[in-house]
Amino acid sequence: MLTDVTLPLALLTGVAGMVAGALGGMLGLGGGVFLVPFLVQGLGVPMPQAVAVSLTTVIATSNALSASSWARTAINMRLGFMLELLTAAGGLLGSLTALLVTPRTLMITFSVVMALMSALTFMRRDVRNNLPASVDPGPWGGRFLDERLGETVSYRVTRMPLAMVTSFLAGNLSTLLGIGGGVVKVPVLTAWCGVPMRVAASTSGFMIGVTATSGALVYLGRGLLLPMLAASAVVGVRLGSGLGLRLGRRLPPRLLKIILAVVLVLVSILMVSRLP
Amino acid sequence: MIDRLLAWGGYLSTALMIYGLGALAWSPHAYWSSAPVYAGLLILMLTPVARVLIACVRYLRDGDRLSASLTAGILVVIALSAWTASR
Repeated sequence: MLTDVTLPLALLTGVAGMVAGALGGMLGLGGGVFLVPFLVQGLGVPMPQAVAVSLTTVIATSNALSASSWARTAINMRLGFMLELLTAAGGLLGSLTALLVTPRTLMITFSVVMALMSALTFMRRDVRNNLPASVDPGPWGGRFLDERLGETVSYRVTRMPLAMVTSFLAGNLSTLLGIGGGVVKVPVLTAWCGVPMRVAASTSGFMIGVTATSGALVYLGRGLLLPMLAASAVVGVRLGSGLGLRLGRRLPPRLLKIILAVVLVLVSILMVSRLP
Repeated sequence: MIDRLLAWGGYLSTALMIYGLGALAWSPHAYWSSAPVYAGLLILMLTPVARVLIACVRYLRDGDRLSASLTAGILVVIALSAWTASR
């Protein structure tokens, strides 16, 4: 385990955090999906400590994303809290099982999940889920102003049990792998549950902070969180997420999905190519 | 209120961490470099918890029992995490 953080390591982690924050802000993810492979493969940080650092950056991205005006208007709080309850429960279970799983198993799991989510996102890149504003959104859906269309649109949440099971699994993977879980929830919500990309990204961004908190607390208690490394990453994420949010606002959902799919498959290959 | 909490929680925690990192660069291993970083991390982690707590109170006040129950459930899970961490 790493015990001392040097200044170059802190600076490199800050730069990595900035990239993770930019991608996370743009795609509604925590950024952990980019940061963990970099810390493990690029800087040689042991997986459990990389996961702990990543979870703190996920909280930072979530705070920045949820406070932004772009996300605020699209967040579905009721749906978010419903799914978050299951995600947080999954996260708690993940934090307990993480201590029993080997780093190699974690890395393989990480790669497989990323590859699957990449394929799903790419295959369903043209699904929009926007309905006319006059359509009743039902108990879990809602309406929001689509700035690109210049009009208010409605959406209905379908296959709620699938969304709930996915959220529980996302929470479990979140704490095991140091990711926010958005990388699992956003593709499933947009591909099968009728949620538009912007709503899924905003609501997911709102939820991931809570998920990551329940996991980060456990890592902190076990002494696996390196405060200086976490602080460098968080400061980087805060700087990068502003840029990512501006980009996410301007790019069309189809392009965002393609970027997400490409990044996920690259991360998956990077992680599996250097297994211990 | 939730928006302001998130924004100010973010600013305060980031400011403390920047101060701590600056102090680390100046004098490694000094207490005054690690204490602000710990405080910043703690504020960062407490911000989402406070967000859920405020939402829970607001839902209770508005009589939205389902949403209030959901947020209360989330708080219970976070409390369980903290309890697990302390053992």
